[in-house]
Parts: sequence; structure tokens; C-alpha cells
Amino acid sequence: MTWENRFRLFGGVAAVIALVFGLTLIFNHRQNQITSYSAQVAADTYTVGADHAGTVVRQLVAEGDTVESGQELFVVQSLQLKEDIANGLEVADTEAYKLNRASGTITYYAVTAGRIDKLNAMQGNSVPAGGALAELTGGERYVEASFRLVPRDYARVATGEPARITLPNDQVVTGTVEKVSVTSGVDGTVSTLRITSDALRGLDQQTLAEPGAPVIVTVGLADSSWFAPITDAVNDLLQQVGLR
Amino acid sequence: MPTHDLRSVAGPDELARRELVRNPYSPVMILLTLIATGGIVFYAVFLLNPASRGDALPYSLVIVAEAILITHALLAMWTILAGSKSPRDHAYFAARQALLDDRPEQDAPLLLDGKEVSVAVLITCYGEPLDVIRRTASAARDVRGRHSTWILDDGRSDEVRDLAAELGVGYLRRLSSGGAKAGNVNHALSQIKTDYFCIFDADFVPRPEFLVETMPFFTDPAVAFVQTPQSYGNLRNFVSRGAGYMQTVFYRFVQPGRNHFNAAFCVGTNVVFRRTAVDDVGGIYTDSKSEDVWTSLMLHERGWRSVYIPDVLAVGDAPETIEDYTKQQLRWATGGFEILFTHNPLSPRRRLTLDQRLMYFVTATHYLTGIAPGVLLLVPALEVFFDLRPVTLGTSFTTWALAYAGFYVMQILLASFTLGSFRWEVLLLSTASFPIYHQALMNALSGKEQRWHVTGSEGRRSSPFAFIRPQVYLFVFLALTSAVAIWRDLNNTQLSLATAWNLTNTAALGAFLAVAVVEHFRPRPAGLPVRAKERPPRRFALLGARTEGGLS
Repeated sequence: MTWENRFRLFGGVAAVIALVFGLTLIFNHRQNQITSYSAQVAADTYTVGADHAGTVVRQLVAEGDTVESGQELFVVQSLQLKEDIANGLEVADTEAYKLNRASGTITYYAVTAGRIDKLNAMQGNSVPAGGALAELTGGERYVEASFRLVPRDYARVATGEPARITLPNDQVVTGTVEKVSVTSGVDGTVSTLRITSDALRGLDQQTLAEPGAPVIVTVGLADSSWFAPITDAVNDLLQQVGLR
Repeated sequence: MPTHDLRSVAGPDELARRELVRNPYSPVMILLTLIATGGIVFYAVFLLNPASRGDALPYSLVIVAEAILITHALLAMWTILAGSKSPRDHAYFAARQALLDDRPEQDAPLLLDGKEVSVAVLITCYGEPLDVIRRTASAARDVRGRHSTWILDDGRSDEVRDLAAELGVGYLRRLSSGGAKAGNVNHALSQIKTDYFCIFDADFVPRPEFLVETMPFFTDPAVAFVQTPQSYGNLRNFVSRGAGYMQTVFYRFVQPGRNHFNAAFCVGTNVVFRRTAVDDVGGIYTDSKSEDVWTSLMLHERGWRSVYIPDVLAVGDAPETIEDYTKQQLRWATGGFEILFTHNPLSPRRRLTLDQRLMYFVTATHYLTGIAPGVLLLVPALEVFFDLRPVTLGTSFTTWALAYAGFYVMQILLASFTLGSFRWEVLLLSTASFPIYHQALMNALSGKEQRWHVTGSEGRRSSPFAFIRPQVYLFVFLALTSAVAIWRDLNNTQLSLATAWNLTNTAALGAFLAVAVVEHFRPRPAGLPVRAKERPPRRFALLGARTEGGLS
């Protein structure tokens, strides 16, 4: 065997080993992350509820309006309330409304910034006690993601772990796992993760971050294998030379 | 010595009797072939069923590789089933009766249609050991029927010249060495003017009845050549057994089948040609790596008939080292691909029958079936590293195993039945051979000659590892992938099929490399002279030889 052949042989073997090492990094990376099979943007919704029966005397917003937190929404005149106060009933203001004890009117405010999605009462309508005046969708967005996890992976999901959210336009934003819940149904065990992300706030609320918009969530799992230090070393190197 | 006390029989002993009674197309063989055909179709239907389709990348790899294997397997089954009729007809037996005119002497004149015909036996040499040439030349001289015997020495050795004088056979040497073996034969034909001529490679020892069995076919004026099988007498190690048995299905069933397509081709040795037929196509074809197939193709295009008989009438040597095996397979495969790229038999310009077009297309594409296992070896790795699967997870193991067995197990069973037992050497060797065929494809595409980096010091045999680097790389890859696959399965607490396959493939390739390691450390047998220069291509191709598919 010539030296040239020996070099070729050993060089080739070294290249193969390097290739498998690279493939193993990819494989291990995939092993240490989970990808949602279904995920969408979600937002909390609030009902502006009438605590006292009365007549809407002023309607300050229309359907689709964006409102600030604390913005006036409705003024409701309640004769019953006026009478009760006159009779000496102690009624307190809340975050959601303020009373005018002299005129017996109640002013409802937005408890959070958001958008009026549905208007149940118009000016001049009467509302029963406990009735809904409007539905307010909060401006705060988060992501609800469903996963089918094997027990080993479920055990490794922790709140506070970083998550990557791929938006419908392929833009990727980062978030944090806030809550983990799990349900069992006919199609197996489904783990649902709530992911919060500051980046969602800066997006176009009408399209990308519209509640219900489909997204893909991948969550990194804590790598506890013996391979972890090797992965970290390679990541550090890539970071140091500016490739990551 | 008989082991019983029954009366001994005059005439054929038991072994010879069994040989006489042997029926290659036994009803069991026909049944196995039919079942194997069904298995192939079942497997094809399973693969193409959209319900079992998996991820695009591995699925398309599998489909392309298996399509090649399945098509060739089906065509092989067809060829086998087509070949059950013997080419010997009434005219043959009549001519054979009259051939020697009942004269018992060894050099009785050969008579065809009442006239004596002249025959020359040509032995092509290129630096083979002297005792090998002696064995062949003396056997050729002693073949029954009047003929002249010639050693065509491209090795230009004075010792061979002296040997020829000693044995009383003719000796020819030429000044150039153009056209390699074909050039050597054509040069001889310019000097020797006989009605018929035989070609034997230096290591193929003819049996005495060679001419008696073959010559009567020439009573049909359309017969251009009569080819007999290559049989090997040196099946004593892994490589020679693997390489030798690899050819068995081809020589026992494929070539006899091709008779009926009038597409049995010449394999360069153990053949007798009609001189006028070879002159009709301008001599033995010199422009190719495989002059034997090309000459056959030219003859068939000119309307000649070829005959193949499956009787062993000469015994030679199969390659015994990985080096010789690699070079042999590379030559044959390159020759096949050359036909595909430069002389496509399906082209309307060729004057061939549809039967012949199909058979020569099989010949030209046959070695693609040797590349297919290489593609399939990579499929489990795609699942291990990327979770990409050729079939859906929904496919049950039983369905998959049944379809797979229908194809591969039946093919192996059929080959084993032909060979008399399961020859694992063939399976291992064909699994490990795909880099050779890939190289052949590249060489045929680029039109380049293969050059080996084996300029080792004189007198030392080159290591087998100089020829099997791709196999070493793949083995390392598969072994490391197996380790990752096991780690993956431990994590997922589930054994996957990919791991099982990958381990099997690693073991198969590992066994082949173990053979290479043994060969690397084995001392060169003393007394055998080393061939200082590489022999030029022995340029005969046995395409269509490997019906046994590789592991995948």
C-alpha cells in the first residue's frame, strides 16, 4: 500500500467521522426540542357586564374601536340604584365602573387596553342586572400550543424555558413557556403550553397576531445527556466565530 | 469404492449418472420461478401503493432503486422461463452423428455436411504464469477432432515461445499491442485462415469433447458462434466463491433463455466462431472495453444467429483477490454502460428484433442493479438522523415484512435452489460491490479509463484496501450511524426498523472488510510470479449475471 493510498484512506475516514459528528449534532438538536402539531395566537376576552339594571344613556364606543385601559365606554342611568342610595345603601366603585351618587348614573370603563369586538347594548337600550354591555378583547397576545409528548419529553418541559414561534409569514419570534397543562382525550394525551412573547405586541394586530392565527412553536428541552457539553462547546465556538 | 456390497455396475458411476439425469428446468424450479414472479409483483404493488408512501426523499430513493431491481428481476424471471427448450434440434444430432464419421482417433477430421472443415484453437496470453499456459495449451492441443492450436502471446515472452515449441503448438507474437485482446485475435486471424476458430483465455482449460459438442451447430448456415459457460475450478476462498457463484444463474438459466431471443452473447472465452461471420462484421470489435458483447451485438445486427449451450466444456479461474474481482467487475460493468450510452439497443437505427432489443437493453442496464444496494444502504441513516421514513408509520410490520419477503427472500431462495445451497458469499460480495459499478457508470459517462493508485514497489502485492476505499468509508459511516441509532432507540425506549437494518448492513460490510483485512496480511503465495504490469482488460462481459439482489 502506497503512502498516497494511506493518506487517502485515512483522510476519507476522518471526513466520514466529521460528517457523522455533524449529523449527530443535528439529530441531538432535534431530540432536544419539541414541535407543536397545532398552535395559534390567543388573547384574553373580557365581558363588560352591567352590575345594575338600567338604561344606556351614553354609548361612547362603537364595534371595532380600539380602547385604552381606563377609557369610558358606557354611561347607564339606573333609577333603582338611585333609590337604593337614597335609602342609605352603601355602594362602592370598582375598577370597571364609577357611580354618580347624585344622579344614579354608572360610568363603565375599559379594564384593559384592547378592542371592542361585540356591542350588546346601544344607546337607549335597557340592560338587566348581570347583562353584557360589550365584549372586549385584550390587547395582550400569547400563544396556545398543543404537543403530543412522550413521558420522557413531558418531564423535561419546564416553565420559563425559551420557545420559538414561527408566524404565518415565516417570521420567527422568541417567547417563554408560561404555563403547562395536560389533558387526556380520545386521541391520546395532549400537552398544552402557553407561550408569552413581548414580540407579539409589536406586530400588526389585525393579521399576524390576530387571535386564531396559526403558528408553529418549538420548545427547547433541557439536554441532560452526556452529549450536552459537546453541543454546548460547538455552539460556543459557532457563536465566537460569528456564525450564530 | 462402493460402500455397499451390491454388485458394481459397468458404465457411468453414480455421480456421472446423476449428472446425466439432472434436469435444470425441474418442475420445482419452474414453480419457484413463478412464485418469485408473484412476489416481485406483490412487492411492487406494495411500494407504489400511495397509502404506504412515506417522506418524499427516502421514498423516492427507495422507489428509484427498487424500480431498477424489480424491473430486472421480472425480466430475469421471464428469460429463465423462456429458456426451457434445448437448442439442440434434429439437424444438430444428425450433424453430430456424421461429424467424426465413427473414426476413433484423436485427430479425426471434422466433417460438416460431408465436407472436412478446418478449425484453429486460439489461446490468448498476456503475461500469465507459464504453468497456467502449459495446462491450457496442452489440453487445447488434445481436444478431439483435427485442428491447429495457437498461442497468441501479447506478453512477448520467450519462455512461452519455447513452451509452444515443446508442446508442438503454433506461436504468434505481434509488434504492437493495439486493441488489446481483440487486436491480438484479429492479428492472428490475418495469419490463420481456417473455417472456424475457438478462443480460450490462458487460464481456461478446454475439455476433449469441446469441438464434438459445439461444431454440429454450424450445420445451420446462420449460426455465427457457439458459446459455452465459464466454469471455475478454484472456488477455494471467499472472493472466488462469491465471484464464481455470482455467475451461476446467468450461465445456467439466463444465457439459455437468451437463446430463444437470439440474443445469447459471447463471453470472450470458451467460444467457437464461424470465420465468415466474423469477417462479415469486420473482425472482432476493437473499439470497446467488452469486445465480446460488442462483436455479438454486431453479428446480431447483421442477422446472424448465436447459440449457447449450458454444458461445461472448459474450466478456468474465478478472481481470487479483491483486486482481481474489482478490476473484473469494473471492466464488465463499464462495457455494459458503454452500450447504453453509445449504442442504445432501443434506438430505431439498430437492425434488431424486439426480442434482441429487450435483451441487449437488459445487458446495457444490468449493472444499475449493482448500484441500487448502495442507495438503499443510506435509507436507514435518513431515519436515524432526520426522522425521514420511506414508508409511513401507519404501515404494519407484518404487511411490510410480507411484501419484502415476497421479493428478497424469494430471490434468495431461487438463487439458493439453483446453486444447491445458500451462498452467503454472493450476498455479501454483491452488497459490497456497488462502488465498483458506480465507478463504472462514471467512467462510461466520461469515457475515461480507470487508473489505480497502486504503483507499489515491484514484487509486492498491492493491498486490497487500495481498491475498496469507498467500502471502508461506508463501513465507518454505517458503524457510527448504528451507534447513534442505538442511543436514539434507548432514548425513545423503542427499537426501530432503521436500527435493525443499519446493524445488518454494518455487519455485512464489516464481514467483507474482514475478508480484506485477511487478504491484506496474507503472504503472497511463493513461486507465483508477480505480474509486473497490469493486464489489459480481459474484456469479456457477463452481463445479466447477478440475479441475486443485494441486501438493502
